[in-house]
Amino acid sequence: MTEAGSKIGKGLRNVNFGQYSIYIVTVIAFLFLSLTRENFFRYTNVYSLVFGLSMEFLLIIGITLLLIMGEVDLSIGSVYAFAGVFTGLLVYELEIPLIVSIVICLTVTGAIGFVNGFLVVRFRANSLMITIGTMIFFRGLTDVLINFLKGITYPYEYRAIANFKILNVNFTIFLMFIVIIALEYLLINHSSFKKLYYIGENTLSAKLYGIRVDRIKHTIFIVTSMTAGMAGILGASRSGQTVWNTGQGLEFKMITAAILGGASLFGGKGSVVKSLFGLFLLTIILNGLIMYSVDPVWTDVVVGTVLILAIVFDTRINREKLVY
Amino acid sequence: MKQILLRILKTKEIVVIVITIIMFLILSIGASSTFLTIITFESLQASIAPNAIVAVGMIILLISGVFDLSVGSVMGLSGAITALVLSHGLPAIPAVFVGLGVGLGFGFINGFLVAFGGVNPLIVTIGTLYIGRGLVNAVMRGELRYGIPIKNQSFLVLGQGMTLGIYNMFWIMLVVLILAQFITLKTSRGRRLYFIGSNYEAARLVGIKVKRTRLLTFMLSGFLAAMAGVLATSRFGISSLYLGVNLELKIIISCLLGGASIAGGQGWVAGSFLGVIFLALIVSVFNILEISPYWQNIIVGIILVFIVSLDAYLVTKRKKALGEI
Repeated sequence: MTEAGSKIGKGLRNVNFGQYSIYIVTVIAFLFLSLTRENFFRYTNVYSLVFGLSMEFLLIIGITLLLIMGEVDLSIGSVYAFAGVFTGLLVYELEIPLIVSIVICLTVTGAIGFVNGFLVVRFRANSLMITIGTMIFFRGLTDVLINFLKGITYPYEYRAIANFKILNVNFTIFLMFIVIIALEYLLINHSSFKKLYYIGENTLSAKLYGIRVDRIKHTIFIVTSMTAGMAGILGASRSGQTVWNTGQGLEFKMITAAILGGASLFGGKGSVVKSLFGLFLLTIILNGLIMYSVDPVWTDVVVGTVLILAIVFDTRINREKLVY
Repeated sequence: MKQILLRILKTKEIVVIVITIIMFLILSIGASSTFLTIITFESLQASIAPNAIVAVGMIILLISGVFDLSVGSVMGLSGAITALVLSHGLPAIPAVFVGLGVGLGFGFINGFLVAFGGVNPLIVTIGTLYIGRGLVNAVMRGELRYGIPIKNQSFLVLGQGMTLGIYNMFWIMLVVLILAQFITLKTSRGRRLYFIGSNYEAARLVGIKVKRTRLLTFMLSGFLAAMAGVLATSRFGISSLYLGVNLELKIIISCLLGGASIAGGQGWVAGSFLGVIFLALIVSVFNILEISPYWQNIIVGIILVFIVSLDAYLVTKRKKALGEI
């Protein structure tokens, strides 16, 4: 082997491939589908996948930030559904101006996050169990609202939000890239965002070093609920009408995506860009199932299996931390 | 007897017992024409029995410090598969074994991943919850989605037949309950569950086979969930796409109400039965007051948040008293 070749070989050996595995797997899955299914790599299909992603990326941000701190919020799927319908109710039934409705709705979802965070921080309750409670609560409330509204189509201005375009591209796609890149930059470089990792690594020592753990956790819970609310408004605006079971199972999809992207239930790890790739991978897999005309009833089975596989790998890697 | 009574009076579950009795009395007096009829009692029996059987598996897991969210899906899947094999002409007894085998299989997967893989039980069982529910949808496709009717009489006896004026499934439930209560209270193997729940690491160090116990308890939970599914399907005479949806939360709430703790090491089987009765009575109250099922979800959510917060508060207080924080 030439000298240059061995240098490259050494360089490659020093690269930690585990760190980039999510990108590699995503690219492989993308290439595989592009080569085997001719309908996959069409502008319309890829655009609609990215557009769908730009609706859901707000959810993955909250979940990733929480997972970095070793907490989790399962209520986001219900909050997502609730926010869409609640804004619809304000606009359609009470005829409040759209902007005001959105502000009210985000305030309410922020309050949900406040309650979640309060219970978790103050009572040291298990965030999984608490947010299962709020999940089922808001699912019920959403059902009540939908039952009250019946199957309506939202007013035009509400439906127009998601369709707002810049340069013929939906603004949400721009928003996604800007927010994700900015947040990733902050997480890597900014001291107050790095604190999230310290908390996740070791809460006790973070506390001893003077980080206000409770306050930060509380804030992130509020942020998570509010971003879920924003995503819900966008999602409802896209679908344009009241839909039963909106956002059902979304929380598990997000957790699966984040764990695929290297976040860990044990805290201390995670990156929003990788989580987004995890979500994209999951989207591709589900889209691929449709391309291969697999019956949609298998979707749940696939998501469940991917979730378990991801978590098993996560546990193998972070093994020393905890035993159940 | 006196000891048992004293013991009951000392527990924190006494509040639940009192509320249950008060609720029962109010229902009997206030809505006597609708509540205190034989039909209500029969339907109460039928709604309590499967849930109480699932709750036995859950309380044993909770005592040893873990829980299982897949029970609802396992219940639905075993019911659906039992109905499917029956409709293909399999006799009753093998069909029941097939249904129970589904539960054992799911329990094995859960238990193996949690015990030997060291994976978070919540996420594993959420994954199997999805897989199970997806498989229910896959089994009951097309025409079957409206339910697979069952005509096999010897199978229907399980859920619809009565002995001494009480449903057979209720008898089965009683046997399971008494056995489980006896084992967890009086045998050394049962007591080990409490050790494991209070301190997993210490239990392992004193030589308790913690991993094997984890695996077996998860398998038991899956098995009992499947049994509940088989019994409920037999009771309705038709399999349902929605059997066991959201059941896991109600069961966990029942167990927490009955004195168990998410942190493990606490709880008793009779307590979980009490919790199940409590929830069943609440649902009866809803139905008599004609509150729609959506509101029931809201109230279940509130109860869950309340109970979990209270549980966490009490655990923190205990740990503070012990100087662990």
